[in-house]
Amino acid sequence: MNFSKASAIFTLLMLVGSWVFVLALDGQQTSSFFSSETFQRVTRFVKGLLGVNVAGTPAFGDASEWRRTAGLAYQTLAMSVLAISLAALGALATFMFGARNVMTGELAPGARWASGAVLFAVRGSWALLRGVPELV
Amino acid sequence: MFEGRRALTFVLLGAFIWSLLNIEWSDGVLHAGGLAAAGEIGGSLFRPELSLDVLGDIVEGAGRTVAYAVTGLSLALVIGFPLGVIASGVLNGPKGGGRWSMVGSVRFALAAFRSVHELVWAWLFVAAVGLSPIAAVLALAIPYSGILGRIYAELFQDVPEAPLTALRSAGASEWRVFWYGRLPMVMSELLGYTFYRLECGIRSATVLSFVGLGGLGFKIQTALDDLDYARAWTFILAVVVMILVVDWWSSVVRRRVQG
Repeated sequence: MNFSKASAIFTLLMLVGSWVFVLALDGQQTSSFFSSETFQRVTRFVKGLLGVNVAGTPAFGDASEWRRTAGLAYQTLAMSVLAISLAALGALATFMFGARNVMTGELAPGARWASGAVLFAVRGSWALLRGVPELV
Repeated sequence: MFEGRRALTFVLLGAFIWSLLNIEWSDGVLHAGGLAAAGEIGGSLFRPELSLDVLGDIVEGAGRTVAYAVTGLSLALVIGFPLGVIASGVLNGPKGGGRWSMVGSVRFALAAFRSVHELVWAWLFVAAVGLSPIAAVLALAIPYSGILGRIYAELFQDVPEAPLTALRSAGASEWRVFWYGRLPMVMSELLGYTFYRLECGIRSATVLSFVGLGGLGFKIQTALDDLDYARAWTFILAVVVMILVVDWWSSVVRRRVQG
């Protein structure tokens, strides 16, 4: 059996296994997702979002909430731009040391064991950095 | 061309400076005990806890995390692929004429799906339906279908026209042009991007655990709450290993598809 066929079978098994696992896990809950109780909770939640039967003015009808949200959106944009800029600077500083053809391939400078070690370290740190979710 | 690039450089530089000026720096980057804590966290990376208990937790947590990622991504594919085909407008013929209202509304829907982060969807779903694993699946599937749909649409649009024109001149309908022309030509990129989303899905499913849906993220959170960084690193390294496996799998499959 070739790799592509094995991959396709593995993907199928993973798909079936995952859905069976998730649905079985849902069945163990005190109230399943597929129940009338869930429907009632969703209805209540959506009504709350729309401001139906809510005491006082709902947040979306309050001008001061919109001003506060605009301020927060401005801060969010500034943080995103700074974060992506720092990420780009980091990538610019290291990408050459993580390129296989530059470090160990036809463009490798001098001793390949040394540049190979640098390549391994840079690629390892990239894997670690992107493997950890941003919230962690 | 050069003027355009120079203008873009200035705009990007301006945006960077603007962001630097608009961040609150007065409290400093690190708090009083920040360096010591960073040292302790960094040091723990080199002595992860490898007891049988922790390894058992990894197997259990990783199983749940991968299950959420795979089910969420599969549902996202079912929604995102057809929406991506419609949003690309390629079935409307070579000039993409007509039915633009449908293309526009699908593009708007895709943008709406992906503009809300999966963690926010998870909070909404947990608030609406409780701590059901289906909430985690939907929280992943909705934004991912928006992202996949948009990327697939761009891939389908960027196919070179010459081979497609040849198919059309042989009498093929736009559907056939799509199945026998566009799709095979972008298959490698399509697979590569879908694998990349699986990688992202594993990371996102880890994060979903923080709202109480179980999985590796929950274990990381518990270890961090106990200030047990060695144990936290063991779980984090398990996530890294899963990401590397998907990365390796993706690169091998893409090489085979490219032939």
